[in-house]
Amino acid sequence: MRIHDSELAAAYATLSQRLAAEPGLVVEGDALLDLLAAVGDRWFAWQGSVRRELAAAKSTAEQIAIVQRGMSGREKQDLATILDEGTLPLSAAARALLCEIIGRPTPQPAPMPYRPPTPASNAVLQVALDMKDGVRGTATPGVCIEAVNLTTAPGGRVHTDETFTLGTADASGKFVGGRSGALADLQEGDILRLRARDAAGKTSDWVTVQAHGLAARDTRNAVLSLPRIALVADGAGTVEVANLNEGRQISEPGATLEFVNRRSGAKTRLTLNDEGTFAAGGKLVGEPGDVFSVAVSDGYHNLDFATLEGQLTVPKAHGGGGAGDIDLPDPALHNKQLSKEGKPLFESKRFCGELFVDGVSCEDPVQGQIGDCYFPAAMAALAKQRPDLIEKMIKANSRGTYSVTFKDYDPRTRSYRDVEVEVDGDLYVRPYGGPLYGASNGARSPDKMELWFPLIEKAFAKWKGSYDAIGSGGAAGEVFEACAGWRARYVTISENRADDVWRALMAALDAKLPVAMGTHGEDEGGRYHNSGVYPDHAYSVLDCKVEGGQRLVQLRNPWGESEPTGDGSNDGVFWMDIEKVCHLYSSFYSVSV
Amino acid sequence: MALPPEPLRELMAQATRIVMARVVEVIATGHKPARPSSAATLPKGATDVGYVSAEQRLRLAVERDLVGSGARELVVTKPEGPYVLRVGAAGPFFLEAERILGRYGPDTHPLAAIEHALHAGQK
Repeated sequence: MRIHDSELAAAYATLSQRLAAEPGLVVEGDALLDLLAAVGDRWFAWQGSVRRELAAAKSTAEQIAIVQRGMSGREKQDLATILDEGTLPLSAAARALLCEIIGRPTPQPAPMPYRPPTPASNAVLQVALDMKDGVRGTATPGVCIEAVNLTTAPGGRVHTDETFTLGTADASGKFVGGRSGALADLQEGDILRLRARDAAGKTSDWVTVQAHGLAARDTRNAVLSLPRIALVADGAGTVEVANLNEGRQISEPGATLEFVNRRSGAKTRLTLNDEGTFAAGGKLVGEPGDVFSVAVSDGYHNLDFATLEGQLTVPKAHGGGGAGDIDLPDPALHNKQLSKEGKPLFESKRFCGELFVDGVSCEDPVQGQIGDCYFPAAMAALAKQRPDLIEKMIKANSRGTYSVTFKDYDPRTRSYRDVEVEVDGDLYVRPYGGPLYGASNGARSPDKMELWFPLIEKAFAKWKGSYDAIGSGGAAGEVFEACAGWRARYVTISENRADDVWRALMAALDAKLPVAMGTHGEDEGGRYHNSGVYPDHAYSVLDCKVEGGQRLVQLRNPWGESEPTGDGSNDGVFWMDIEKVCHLYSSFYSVSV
Repeated sequence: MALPPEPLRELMAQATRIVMARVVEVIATGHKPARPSSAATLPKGATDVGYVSAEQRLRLAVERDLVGSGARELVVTKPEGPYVLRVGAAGPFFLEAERILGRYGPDTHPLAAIEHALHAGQK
């Protein structure tokens, strides 16, 4: 390789000698500045002073300007030669910087599919690659085979060594794990890590394999855990990328992440290591306050990184780690709040009040402009009977986001698994600034409104796909299951079965089980006119009592207002005789514990 | 669909007349609207499915005016919506020309709230 500029050639030769003495050195920082000083020198600004200028520069943009001010056409060609020759071990950020200096788009390596680094066997354990009939192989007889699915683990709270038991090697050393339980969702291309554990608890080395034989091709993209990514500006125009959560993955091994600086347009791709986390030294080009959009590819899907996972902001204060002000994708508005072109008709605003103000109350949930009355009705019922469950299911994270844990029922295992959904505090708002969808009673200013209910509703919408997905009807029983992990119990109400309905309500409320009741879907014959109760609507059941010979049921309208005339203070709570309840309501949901 | 009622101030701004009235005749009833398509896929006991009742042509006897004035007997249209009116149904009606406003007709807002808003000069 021929470098024409003599100072640059000398700097390159010095660097080459250093690389020979220090294998593994990555060209960045001081080493890079030495090279750049040889390019940026000019009349009345020799190499040493330019080197000092570069070190004192406050931003990458300033460094680029310093170099370009002194760079000749020949030196520009020399830099292009160094980049093209490709033998200098430049860091990704250094490469991007050189490309910017000479005005070349930063080359991006295409994402490659992952190839496990180890053979599918060691002295103790051998795993067959064809998994059409289950995960099978051979091992020392009697050992227990443990596995973890590294493709799905990032979406949960699983450590990379948090295994499930696949099976035990039989007397002939054979084992097989069926497509059930933890493997029920196994898909083509999933990366599994397995090891053997003997009776004394000693474990073998890991074996990493990819699942094949299940489909013609890999069927799902890498799962990304965005909240685990930390961006830290180092004050020199680069941003370090790190994993906030040791032992847990950013994504599956070999996944490639593309970070795009929304301010400068600079793109950087980082490929994860065999542990599904960042290799040491991963850096981006950016400044404090910069926002990066993030996308992921497993080498089969999203190859153009067009589908984004979300955004991360570089904190403005130096040090301390942490992802700073995270902005997560919001669930899409209900279709009624979208324009003909599909654009949102409402803006969103960041709410930052307390999650709980004076604890959880059944009067907190208030339905918004969305057809999900079953949701606030169910949440108010749960708040009345088991406020502790609500307090446990939503947590504020140190990053300024919130984690909500739902229960997802698996009919094959007949059990519930936790599903954690992370949301930020952005809520869609009406023109006057109050929430468009679910709100809480009390103050409605962004920094005062109690947040537990609207954020759980937002997380529910995110989990199910969008506000549209939850805002066109549903059943309170589904919400009980999702929040408490209890099987829903549906009871039909008939006008001539008031005694049975009364007994069933009393039994549920005595056991502190949540109950929500629904009215008839259609207002047949004007049944609901002047009743203070509305058709096709869900109500929370709060209490029952006998008073003056009457059997009375206490109900709450999830609007937080509107009730039968003379029954209350327009807070939506009222008492109603059981006979009238059986006339106006068609069914109720409770749970079986 | 059991969405909350429209805000009172919105209805008051839109209405050309607000009356206390009673339905004295159901003149005509339109075609029964189709069942919401989601009804077939939602679980039993689901609410907010979106059922609506047919359009109706009604004769109202005005008992008193709250806002505006005019004939003591009116022929109005109840649009398709989640409520049905029969002879004898009474309450506060928000009217925009011949059309009944409010998601739940005369059950959208109680009289006390309307009178309070009028007293506070909101119309």
